[in-house]
Amino acid sequence: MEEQDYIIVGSGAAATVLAKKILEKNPLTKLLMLEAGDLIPAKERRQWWNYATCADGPLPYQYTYDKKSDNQSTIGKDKKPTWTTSGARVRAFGGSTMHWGGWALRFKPEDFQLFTNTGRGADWPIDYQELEPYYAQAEQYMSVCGDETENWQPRSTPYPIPPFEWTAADGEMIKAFHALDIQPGKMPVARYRKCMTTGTCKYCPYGARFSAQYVLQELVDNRDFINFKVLTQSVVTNITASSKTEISGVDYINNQTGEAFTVTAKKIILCAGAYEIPKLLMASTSKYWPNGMGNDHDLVGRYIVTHSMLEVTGKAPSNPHGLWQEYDFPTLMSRTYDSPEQQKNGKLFLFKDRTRPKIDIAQLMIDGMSKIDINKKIRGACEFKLQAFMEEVGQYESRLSIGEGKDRFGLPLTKIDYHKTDDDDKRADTHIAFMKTIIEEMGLEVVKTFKQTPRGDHTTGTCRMSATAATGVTDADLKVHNIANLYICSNGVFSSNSAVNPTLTLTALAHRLAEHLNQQDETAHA
Amino acid sequence: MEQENNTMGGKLCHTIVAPTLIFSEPCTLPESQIEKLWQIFAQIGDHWKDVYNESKNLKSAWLEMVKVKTEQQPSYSAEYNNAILVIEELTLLYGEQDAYQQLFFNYKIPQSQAEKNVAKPHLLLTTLLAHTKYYVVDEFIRMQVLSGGFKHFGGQSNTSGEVIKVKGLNYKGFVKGSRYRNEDLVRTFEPKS
Repeated sequence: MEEQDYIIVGSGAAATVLAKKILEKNPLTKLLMLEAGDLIPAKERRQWWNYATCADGPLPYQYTYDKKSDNQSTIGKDKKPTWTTSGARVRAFGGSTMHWGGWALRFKPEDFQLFTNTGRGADWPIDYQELEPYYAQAEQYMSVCGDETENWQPRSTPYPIPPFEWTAADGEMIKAFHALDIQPGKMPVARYRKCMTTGTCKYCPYGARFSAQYVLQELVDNRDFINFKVLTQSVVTNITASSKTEISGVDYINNQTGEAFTVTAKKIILCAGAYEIPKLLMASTSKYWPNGMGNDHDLVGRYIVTHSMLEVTGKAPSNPHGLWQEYDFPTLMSRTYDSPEQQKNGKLFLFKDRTRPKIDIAQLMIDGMSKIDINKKIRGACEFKLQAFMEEVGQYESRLSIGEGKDRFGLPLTKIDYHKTDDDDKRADTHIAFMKTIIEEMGLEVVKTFKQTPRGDHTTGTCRMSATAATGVTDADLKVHNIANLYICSNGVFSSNSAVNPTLTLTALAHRLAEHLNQQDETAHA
Repeated sequence: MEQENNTMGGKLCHTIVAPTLIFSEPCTLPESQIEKLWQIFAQIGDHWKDVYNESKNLKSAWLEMVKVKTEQQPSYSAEYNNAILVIEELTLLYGEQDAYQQLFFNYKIPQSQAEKNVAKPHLLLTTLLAHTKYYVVDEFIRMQVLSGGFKHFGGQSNTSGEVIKVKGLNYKGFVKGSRYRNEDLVRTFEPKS
């Protein structure tokens, strides 16, 4: 294969933005995208009917999930493998947007100055003001619906689409929020131009959840982009260096044939997620990089962190209005405790669980229950659940590294040595006590509290951005420190993870990087 | 709930088969078979009164489901043909009304004592009657509820339990309206100003 202008490793949310913007700027760009997973058919009616009607509700992407047996993670003093990787990501054309929830929230200005404000963690080398125009682009690109009257953070543009309204089932919790001076908000959700009936989405009515797969397929089908190619089932195993400061290309294996290839490129962008990128960097050793590429300071894979989910469930003796959560996604949230004042104690992003009150009418019918009895049950005892993401700070000792053996994609297994501080546990307990007051304010009996063990869905921090090579892996332009032509665009570059979902921030970073690269190319051509 | 009946049916119903979907090549069902299958769907609506006059309005969606489930792999053709024969035997034994009444409200897929802890009930589908309940009746119920049947549950009821005011506007899997809509997709919360 001839030399490429760009190689992008991975094909998810960030990769798709980069390819789209680079190709739209110069349609003849030679751009090769390498994806370890396969193309999962979407827009499939059979899949949709299977999902809707079959007891097991098979979803076509789940076979790409990490197996539990792949997990070589450890946590804390007892070293139990409780960092959950299974179900956290999709390895396929389009990446994890095949299964994500679509929650599209901006970080807040203080999130970019965590160390300055708290003395813990790290500051980002860019600030909110720098990223704000790209947040606006990202919201436009993903058709985010949100409440333009909200005041959670400064905005230069309104949301492109109005929000989903609060459901009647949200009402009792909203009243409790007001009683406790908590500002309720409407969940911003990334939607798409129209419903594709994918068979991979459960977000109806008419959530029409954004999926990078559709955008990517349009790029592949666009005849203007004759030099754009996506190779699936192609596992990148090594980044090749031509000198200490420049890379020349990548080695990859075609999983269908077992053949190995080397392809060269002027620039390489790693978009394979916060797990695979650090492993690839560590595996790419050479005389220039004996400890792995970009790893002279032993920081690749460090500071891994995710969100701890906290839950409090309350029970009501009856449900006189027969309410159920009619959307299959949450519509009520609050960022009142995702605030500068709360930053020292670990910010808290509150949201009402998407499944409660729940009544599975079909299952009751299947069980042989009569209509009268079902109606009684609908108006009988029910549960409400309040959930939250708690911000934690990545520790130097917390590290993702290469495990022993390979998974079925041929990717090296993941080992995560995760360290929580005692303070994190105390903060979680304090937050749960606070969340219980909300449930009690609703007049409910608290029946369960839950602290989830770390789940990999929102993993950040394995290749974090920094002002200098001594403190991080990439610079403010997402270029690996001291390498001229290697970039990383992934949640891994986040210097802190805030309390909210990362995908909108990643998409904004991808827009910013694409603009930076296009400007570079324009200057070079001039 | 009525008393469970795990012994209903005759020789055909009790025929032992593998628990997995009965194999068949993808094919188009004859019109006559489709109409017999439709009767099972319509009977669900009649027994739970969850769609009233709407059964016919769901027919195009139901036909599409049957088409993709029979004409694509893995095909339900043999499973649907089996269900038609099972219903015919039950009707012969009990009469149409009682046959459906028992199948919908009383019949339980049999489980041995040892099997009661098995998490996946479809692994216990060892009779043709169990196949009919699991692969046909249960899936038709789910289709009917998410296609609009849910609206007739949970509202205000009269003394005989009939819902007189529809409550639910939406349900998991139900697709209502368009992205550019003027009416609420769900029951919304209206804060008092």
